[in-house]
Amino acid sequence: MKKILLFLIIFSSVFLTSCFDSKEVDNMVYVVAIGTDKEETGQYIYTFQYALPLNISKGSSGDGEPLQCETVKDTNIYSAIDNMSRIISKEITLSHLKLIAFSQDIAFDGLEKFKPEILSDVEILPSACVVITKGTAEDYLKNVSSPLELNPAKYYNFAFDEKNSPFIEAFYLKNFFEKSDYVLPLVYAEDKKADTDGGIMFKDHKQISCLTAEEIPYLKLLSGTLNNFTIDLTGQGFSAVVTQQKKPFIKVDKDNLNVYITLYLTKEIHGNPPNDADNMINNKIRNKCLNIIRKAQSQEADILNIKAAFRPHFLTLDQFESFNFYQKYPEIYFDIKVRS
Amino acid sequence: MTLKSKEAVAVAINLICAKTFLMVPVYFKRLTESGSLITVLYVFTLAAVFLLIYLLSGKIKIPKFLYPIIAILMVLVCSINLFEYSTTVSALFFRTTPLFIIFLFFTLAMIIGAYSNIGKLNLFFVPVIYITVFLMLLFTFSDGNYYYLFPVLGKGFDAVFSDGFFMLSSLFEVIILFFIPDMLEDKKDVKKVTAYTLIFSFIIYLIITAGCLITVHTDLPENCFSPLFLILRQIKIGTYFQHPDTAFLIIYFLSAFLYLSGILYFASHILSKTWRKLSKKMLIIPFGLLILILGVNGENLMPATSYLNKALWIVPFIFPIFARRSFK
Repeated sequence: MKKILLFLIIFSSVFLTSCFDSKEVDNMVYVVAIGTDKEETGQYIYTFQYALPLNISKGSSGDGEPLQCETVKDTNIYSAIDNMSRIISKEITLSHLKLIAFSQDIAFDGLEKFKPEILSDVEILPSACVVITKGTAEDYLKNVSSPLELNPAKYYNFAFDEKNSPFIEAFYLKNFFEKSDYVLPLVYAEDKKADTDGGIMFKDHKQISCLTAEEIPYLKLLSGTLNNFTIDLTGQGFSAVVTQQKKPFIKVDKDNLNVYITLYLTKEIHGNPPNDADNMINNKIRNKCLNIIRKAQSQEADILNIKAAFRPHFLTLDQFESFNFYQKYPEIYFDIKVRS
Repeated sequence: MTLKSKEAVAVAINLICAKTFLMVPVYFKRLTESGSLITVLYVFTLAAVFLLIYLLSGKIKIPKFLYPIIAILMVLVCSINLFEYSTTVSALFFRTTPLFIIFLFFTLAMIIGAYSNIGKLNLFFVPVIYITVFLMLLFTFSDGNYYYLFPVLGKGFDAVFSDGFFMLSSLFEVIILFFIPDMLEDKKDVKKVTAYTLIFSFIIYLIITAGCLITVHTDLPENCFSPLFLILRQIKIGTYFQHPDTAFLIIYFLSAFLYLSGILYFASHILSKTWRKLSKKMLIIPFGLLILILGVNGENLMPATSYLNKALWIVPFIFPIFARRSFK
């Protein structure tokens, strides 16, 4: 036992304290965001946004920006990283990467090509966010700024935390594993002000449609990621703060192709509500949610992963595959119940 | 050296389950694509049925002329796993470190472990390893999609039982259960040790394979070295615990260390039983070096590995049936 303890001490002192195989922080460049734009020649324009630790440590008294961007033209992300290392003469690390932005041109062509590239790098955390930019990703990264948070990595954490805002349906890198149909946030930045503008709907990793900013909270309700949001019914003299209690319950009737979704919400009504205020809110939620589902059905995009809910109704995979979900998906009747 | 019943259970569990840190859960996943339960049930039912025969028929004595064959097989399996452990660690954590240094490091750990009291070591570290894994999996299960455990029969009985038959080879280490009784302090505990080992191993395989199914839904990337690492990387607890990689490195190293030293210990123990002049301690260093040499040439062993994967199931499941039985 003593030998083992001695061995563990030696092991930890050699390997875990970074005496061996060490990397100096000063010699590294911490990339916090990568933007990808398409170029006419078939190459891609990669924009690397990296942190300037000295400017961050100076705080608000410092004159310099906490972030800097460099742009490289290349065919894939790895050779782009090599080129970047050459330009800025330091080793690039992606372990603090928080944001991966693609321009809409690339979204139309499809993100499938980039999936193995970004998923295979063990440095990139699966919690990095993926977004689509209005305009070029380069412009977005150059214009994005964080007046309330000097640490850029923290800024992206807050900005794209799905619990913080009802208007962002965050999509993390890890979601690429499970989904080919999804909605990515559409972001833009002008005059050093960054914002989101709804979402882009994808089928088989290709852009097919858009969702407005107003539709996003309802999409989040359906996917069970909403914290709370305010439904404005000022025309009727009241508004309501809706809080999602738990993830929706999905019940499938395979034979009749019916899907019943139950949403669990609590409502806090403000103003002068009429007697049937509760029904009015429920109807609004139901209609908005059904509109999103119909939009997705018309494009055959299974953004709510309803296909998975059908799996328990089959004994074997062969039976499940022969059911041919995508052929039947547009015909599925959805019913939404709201429970308070 | 004798083992107390708890120590024996810990040693056996680690030897059987250590491969959950390598690619075995992925093989299970690919076998069924869903229905983790059927795969693990299938594998362990066969193991349990055979061990039941063993327990009912009394103590099976494996003829001594088979001991060297088993020891050599153990060395071979150990060197293949040394190669896998070292390449995985190299690819995931120490990419700039020369691979040979990692091999050397694991070999050193293996030899020191084999000279130590493996019973106490396993009893102390095995619960730590698997409790940590389970706790980490708990955080990923909340984001998982349970529908991916279905359809419950996966690719169907035929596919699972025909294709999955050779997968029993990955449970080659079950053979340890035939050698542990000799080392037990209290021989009456044999049945208890066997039962506990099988139950706990079953639970560990079930939970890790289920985690693999519900968290990583589509097929894993080609460069995936350890599905457990891939699953655990998805943990994000607040802003401050974003890199669970370090915790994984420690439990991965501990598991590899206990597995390699355990196999080396048993290979030496089994061979030392053949000739009285050979002592277990004499054999550990030569076997360790042999494992290092074979492990370093792991890529050349790959053709042999594919044959071993198809044939190794014979050893734990069929082999002892032909062995001489001595009824008391």
